Parts: sequence; structure tokens; C-alpha cells
Amino acid sequence: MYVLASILIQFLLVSICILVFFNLREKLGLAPVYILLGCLQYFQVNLENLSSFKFLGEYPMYPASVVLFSALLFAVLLIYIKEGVVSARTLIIGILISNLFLTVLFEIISAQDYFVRNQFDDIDLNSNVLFNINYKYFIIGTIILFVDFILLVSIYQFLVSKIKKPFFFFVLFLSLWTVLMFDALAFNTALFYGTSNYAPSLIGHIIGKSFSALLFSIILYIYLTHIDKEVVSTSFIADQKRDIFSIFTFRKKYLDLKIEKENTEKELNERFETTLLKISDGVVSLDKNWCYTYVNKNAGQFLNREPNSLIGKHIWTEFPEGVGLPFYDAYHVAEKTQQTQYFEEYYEPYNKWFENRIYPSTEGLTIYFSDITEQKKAQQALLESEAFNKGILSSLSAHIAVIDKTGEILAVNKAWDNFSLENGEFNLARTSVGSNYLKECENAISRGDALSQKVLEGLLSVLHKKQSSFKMEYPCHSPGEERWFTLQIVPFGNASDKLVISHTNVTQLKTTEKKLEDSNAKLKEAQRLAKIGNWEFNPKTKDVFFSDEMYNILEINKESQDDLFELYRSKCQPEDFDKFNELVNNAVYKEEGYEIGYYVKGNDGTLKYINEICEVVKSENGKDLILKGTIQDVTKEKLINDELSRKNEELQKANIELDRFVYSASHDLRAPLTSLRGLIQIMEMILKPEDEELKEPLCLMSTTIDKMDVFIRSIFDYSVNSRTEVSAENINFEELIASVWESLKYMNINSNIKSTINITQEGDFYSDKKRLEIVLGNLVSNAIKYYDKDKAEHILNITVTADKKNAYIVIEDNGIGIGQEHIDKIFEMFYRATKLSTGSGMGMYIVKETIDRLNGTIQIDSELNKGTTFRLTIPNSNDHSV
Amino acid sequence: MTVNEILLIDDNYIDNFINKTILTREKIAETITVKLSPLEALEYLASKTDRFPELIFLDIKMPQMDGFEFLSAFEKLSEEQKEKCRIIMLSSSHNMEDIETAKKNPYVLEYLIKPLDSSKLNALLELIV
Repeated sequence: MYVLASILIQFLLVSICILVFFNLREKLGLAPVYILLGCLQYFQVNLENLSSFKFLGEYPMYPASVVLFSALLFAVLLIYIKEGVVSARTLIIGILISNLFLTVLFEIISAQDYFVRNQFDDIDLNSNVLFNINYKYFIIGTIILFVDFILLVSIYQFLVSKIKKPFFFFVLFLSLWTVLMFDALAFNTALFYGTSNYAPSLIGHIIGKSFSALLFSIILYIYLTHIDKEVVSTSFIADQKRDIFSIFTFRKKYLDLKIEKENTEKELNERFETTLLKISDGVVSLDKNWCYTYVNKNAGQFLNREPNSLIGKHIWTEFPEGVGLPFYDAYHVAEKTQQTQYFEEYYEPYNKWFENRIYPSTEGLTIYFSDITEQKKAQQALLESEAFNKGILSSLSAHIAVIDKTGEILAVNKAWDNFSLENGEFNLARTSVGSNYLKECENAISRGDALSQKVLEGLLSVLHKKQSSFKMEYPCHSPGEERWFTLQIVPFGNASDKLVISHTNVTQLKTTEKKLEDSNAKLKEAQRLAKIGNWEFNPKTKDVFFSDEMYNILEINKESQDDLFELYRSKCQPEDFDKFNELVNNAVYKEEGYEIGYYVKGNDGTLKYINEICEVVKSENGKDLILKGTIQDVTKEKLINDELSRKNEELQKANIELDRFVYSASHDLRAPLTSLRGLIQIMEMILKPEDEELKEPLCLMSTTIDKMDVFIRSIFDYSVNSRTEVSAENINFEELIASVWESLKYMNINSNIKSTINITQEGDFYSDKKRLEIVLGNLVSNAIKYYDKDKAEHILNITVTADKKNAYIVIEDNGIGIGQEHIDKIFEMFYRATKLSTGSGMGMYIVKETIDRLNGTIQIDSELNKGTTFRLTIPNSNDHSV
Repeated sequence: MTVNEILLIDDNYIDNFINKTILTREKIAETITVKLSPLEALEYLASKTDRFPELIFLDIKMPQMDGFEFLSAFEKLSEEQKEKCRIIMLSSSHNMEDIETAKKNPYVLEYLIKPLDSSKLNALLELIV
């Protein structure tokens, strides 16, 4: 029992001692632990010869030795875990070296002792065993200790990386136990193999060391998990997750680390350098002797030099042109006063603006300079833009002032001042910058100016944000002229308590407006008088606009709230709706206006006849088509027109009847004549030679009949000319003359006439064919009838020249001619120029009348017994109507 | 020259008399048939089994049916019978419209204005030959 108790006490003492020293390592360092362990080792080595007890009566046990040795490994493990391999290795090597040293020291002391003893025989040779070392035992133990150490660390690291954290205790135990087992085996094998002592000693060791492994594991576990929980960070070796083999390569690691550190430093330096290079500022440092110690890349660019080439050079030797310039002075000021200098400067050689910051220090100057040319340019542009705005402001004709919330005028434009000057404000004291607009308004109000009252109210309402802006039109008549102004008050920008006041001369606008009003009024009046209303209608939206007169004509109440379009429709005849729809659709489709007449119902039930004219225009936005038009109340005209067309119809009917009558009358009148003539012919045929005296009366009868016939035909021609409308047909003169010639054949006119006909016709000629036939028929038949018997040849020349404007017709004969005294009268009705005439005196009258209807002219040249020439000019009715 | 038959269509007895006298004197036809109205004439033509008269003298203005209406009716008659039949309009009308309308008709050979006399007839006969 006592043995066990003493062993336990030894355990506790040794372990507590180690842990206490270890725990104080922050303050004392690891040296005390090392010394303690060194002592323990020495102690342990010398305990080898100490007595052992036989466990279970068979196995020798050396409790003290086991405890101390185990404690040593326990400490190694602890130091390895907490302080890393270097410390653990230091410990082991320390112990090994001190052991060797001690061994040598022991030997010297033993020799010394031996010699002393030899000199003094009375001393007992065996009295002191302390310095008597079993070398074999000692050296093997030491070597094994070293192996143990490597093994322990390896196993621990291996287990720690393989076994999870909750089983940390087993890691500790297994590490210690395995190493101790190895130690027991190795130690016993080395010393006792082959002796009878071997097996019991080995078993004794195993039992004892297992027990101590268990105990130390518990202690270590408790210590690590509960007492020293500090996170391990001091050494990479202590990293729990490190691979076990790293301990063998730690030196390489150390070198790598060193390289890594150097690299990092280098990188940091480079980064710093890059940062310096990258900042847009140029950076240079100068030492006390004005030599460059640092120039970054930008500075190099600014100075137009390679940065490295400047290092060590004297600034003013390099840049002599800088001497005397502002920055030269600034550098010196900074250097002398040791105060930071700042200035901007235009450096002409580079055409650039620089901003310089000079930081002095005891080592020299560091100068940051940046190119601010762009900034300067922007500033300049801003200044110019301000000037530009000011220029614009000045050039505006509106009078503009800016006031603050107290009413003080902050700025005015030129027009504002000019206006004040024009209105007798010579020193501008009341109106220009610095004066108070609100106060001036109040002053004016107190003088009884009602207008100012309104202005003030408006100003205040905008100022107090009751309304976003204020606008007012007011008269400001000068003695010479009427003037109108618009006052406008708007906030200055969005978030500002300043106001902009502008007065704009709107006299011209006002005058135009007035004129427009006048002309509108006149238009209305004219519409009212003419009973014309104008309207606009958008077929898409059914929007309708009516002028005032529209309401009057349609008898719609202007104040009515009903839909105007529906009101209008209610006035129209429902049977017209389809027609209207088609009309509007068609107008929109063809973009073509229309004119239409229709009835609307008045309020008293009477019908009004409306004439509507419409045209299609594009709306202002250009998208829709809009119908615009007028309506006119033409009821009266409609009535008259209706009556007129009724009369016209009657007249036409009468005309047709008359036509028929004339035709049949002329036929019926002429038919008996032709019969008579036929009968006379028969009588002449059957006349016997002896009835000679009957010939004369028969011939006279025949002449009378001819006269009658011509007269009836003339009346017929006359009636045709006077009653029928002038038509315009395309005339081919060749055909016309041929037709006239043909008709003469039926006229019982016989003459051996030699005729020449020349026709020159250019382009189409339009005229009334029937009338031309009457004219030419009469003239040609006259030329034939009144031939000169005395002449051998009877000549008739017809020449027609037709162009786009006129047809010139010349009819020339060598007939009997007309006496000068008759020429003026031949166109009179019933006038007969010659006694040879068989006519009634109607022919030439009808010719003249007919030519007049054709808007033509006729000239006559005639000489008695020589011949007659008629010259006709007939206009071309190529517009198809006369 | 002579023809077999000439048909005169005229409502006026005097004119028929004149025309018949002139034609007879000139001896150009073996038979001269006179009808006082176009209807009678059409009836007569319809009754004919052989060829129509070679010449028909046709007045325009007649009661019941006028000359132009006769022409329209005539068109519908047998082509074979019409083959050698020529129509001469014989009217007192100078009216150009009448003349032109008549001349447009393919069966109308000539338009003559009354009275018929030997010179006109001779000119006409020259045309036929």
C-alpha cells in the first residue's frame, strides 16, 4: 500500500512540477522546464540501480524510474503540442548533450575518486555509488530516449491527423503508451535479451509503463483541455492538422517560409511602388541636397524623363528652366518653413496646368503634382458658359429679375435696367440689384396702384408655394403708345426659395389678338348676314365645332349640353342619313370634298333648305382627316331655283313642241309646193307645141313656188338658230364642206360652177355644226345662184384655215356682186339687194344672226359685176362650251 | 335600162301621180305598183313569193308609219327577196338629219328631194348601172 501511495505521490509531484513550470513559460520561458527535465533524466539514470519490487511476486518493477522516464516523455509531448517541434527537439538534444557531458564528468570524478582513494587507504571503496554509472545501461537508455522522442512526435502527429477531435484523449494515451511499450521492448531487448531476466523484466516494464501512460495521459488531457486552452498559434509545427512528415522537412519549410516572407515583402514593396506609379499624381522626393530620391512613373511622364534616370540627379541641374519659377520659390519656402505648400501653376513648356502639393520633412521634400489641365479647361468652359448665359440673358427682350425670399433683387438682365431707365428711374435705386421688390410693390400699393396689389399677391402665393407660378397680363400705356405686358413669376429652379420675375412686352401679340377678335367679329357678322355657318367635324372622334351662325341656322340652343352631333342629326331628315354617311365616308376615302343640298327641320316645323360645302383637310397632328365646311340657308334661293327649273322644264317642253311644229309645218308647207312643182313639170312635159302661150304662166308659177320654198326654208333655219342651244362638236371642215355641197344638190340649183376648195386644219376644231351648215349653205348657195351670165367661167373659191383659236373661212365668187349702196344693208331682215333675187331677204339675215350666236364675225367685200368675197372668223370652242 | 317592177310608197296621191307619170314616160319599169302607206307596202311585199321590186321610192313623212320605220321593218324581210331591191328616199325634206339618217341605211341607194324629174331620174339610173 505504501508503495502504491508513494508512487502516486511521485506521479503527482513530478507532473504538477512540470505543468507549473510549463504554465509559467510566458514569464520564465521554457528554461526551468528544461532544467527540471534534465535533472529528472539524470536522476532517473541513477535510479537504475535502485531497488525494485516484484510485482505479483514475479515481475521486477522500478517505480521511480518508470515514473520519471514517463514524465520525461509526457513533458516532451506537452511541449511538442503546445510549443512545437523546435522546443521539443531543443529539450531532447539538451538532455542528450547534458547526459553525455554528465557521463564524462562522472568518469572524471570517478577517476578522481579512485586516485583519492588510492592515496588515502582508509576510505571505503564502495562507500559512494552515486558516481558509479552502468555505461551500457546509460548509453542504450539515451539512444532509446532519442528514438522515443522521434517516435512519440511522429505517432502523435499521425494520430492527431487521423483521429477526430472528441477522441483526443486516446490520441494522447496511444502516443504515450505506444512509445513506452516500444521503449520497454527496446530497453529490455537491448539489455536482457537471452538472460533469464528478460521476460519478467519486460512484463514488469510493460505493466508499469502502461499504468504510467494511462496516468500521464489523463493528466495531460485534463491539462490541455481544461487548464491551458489557449489556441495554439505560435508555431506552424503545433498545427494539429499538419502532416507528420513536415517535422522531417521543417528546415526546408523554414527556408521556404523565409523565401515566402521575402517574396511577400517584395510584393508589398512592388505593390506600394505600383500604387505610387498608378496614382495619377506625379510623385517625386528630393533629399536635402535637391537630388531626386524617388520619381514615380507619372512624374517621369510629366517631366518627360525616365524615372530611374533622374534618381540621384540634382533637380535644378536637370531642370534649369524651373529656376525662378513659382514652384522653385514654393519648394524653397516649403523647405525653409517646413510647412506644406499648395499652388496651381501653368507650365508653359508643356502647355499644361499643374497642381502642386509640397510636403517637407527632415529628409527633404516630397512633391505631388497632378495635371489639372482638363479641370482648368472645364473651369474655363464653365466661366465661358456663365458668360454665355449672361449674354443670352442680356440679349433677351423680356425684363428679367431674380429675387430672394425677402424680396431683394439679386440679379437683373439688361432689358430690366433699360426699361427702368426708359421709365425715368435714372439711378435704378428702386429697381435694380439690391433694392427690394416686395417693398417697392408695397410702396406702389400705398400710392393706390391696384395692379401692384395683384402682383404682390401673386408673388407671395408663389413664394409660399401656394401656386407653382403666377402669370398676369397688364396694360402699361406710355403717353405715345398702348403697351401690354405679361408678368410671370416662377421659382428659380426646383429647390430654391428664389423667384424669377419676368415682364414681357406682348403689345404686338395683344394687337394681333385684337385684330383677330375684330376680324372674328366681322366674320361672325358676315356669316350672320349671309346666313353662312362654318363647321368642323372629325369623323373618327365625332367631335363637332359649330360657328355661331350654325346654331342660328339649325336653330340649336348654343347653351345646350347635349351632344352637338346628335343635335345636328335630330334636325336632319332621317331619310338623308344614309346619303350623309356615304358622302362622309366617300369624302374621307377619296380625301375630296363635296357639295350637297338638303332640308333641315326648323323648330316651328318648316323646312329649310341648306346648301353645304365641305372640304377634307388633315388635322393639326396630321393623323386624322377632318371635314371642314360651311352651310348656308338657301331656302329662298331654293324656292326661286325650283320655280326656275320648273319654268325651264316647261320651256324646254314648249321648245321641243315648237321644234316639232316647225319641222312639220315646214314639211307640210313645202310638201304641196313640191307637188305643185311636179305637176307643173308634167304639164310642161305634155305641153303641145301649139300651147305656146301656156309656157310663160307655167314658168312663173314655178318661180313663185321656188320663192315660197326658199322662204319656208329660211324660216326654218331662223327658228333653228334662234331656239336651239349652241353646241360644240368636233368639226372636220373637209366633211362639213362636202356635206354642204351635197345638200346644195337637193336645192334644185343648177350651175356649171368651177369651184376650188382649200382646207388647212390644225388640231381639233369645235363649233356648232348645224349652224355652220346654215351659214355656209346660205353663202355658197348665194354664190352659185347669183352667177354672172356674162362671164364665161363661174368661179367659186372656198378657203378654210383652222387653228387652235379660230377658223378663217373665205368664200369668193366672180358673180354679179353687190352694189356699194346695198352692202351695209344686206344683213337686214327681208332686205333684197338685187332684183334678180328669188329669195325672201331672210338668208343673209340668218347668216349674220347665226355667226353672232357662234361669236364669230363676217366681213364682205363686193363690187358690182366683179364678184363677192365673204371673210368669216369663227372661234374655236375647244373648251366645249360657248 | 328597165326593171321589172318599181314600188312607190307615198301617202300623197298627187306625188304618186307625178312620180308614176314621170316613171311611165321614161319607160324604165314594166310594172309600177303604188302603195299609199308603208303598212300596205309591207303587206304587199309579204305577199310576194318571188323577188321584190328592184326599186322602191319611199317617202318619209307619212301617217301611221313613216319611211324610217318602214326601213326597220324592211330589214327583217327575207334576204333572198331583198337581194336586188334598192330603196330611193323621195321626200320634200331638206332636213340634214333626215338626209344623213337615210344615207346611213344600207338599203338606201339615194336620197332625192321632190319633185322627181327626168334629170334626177337619169342621174339615179346612172347610179344603178
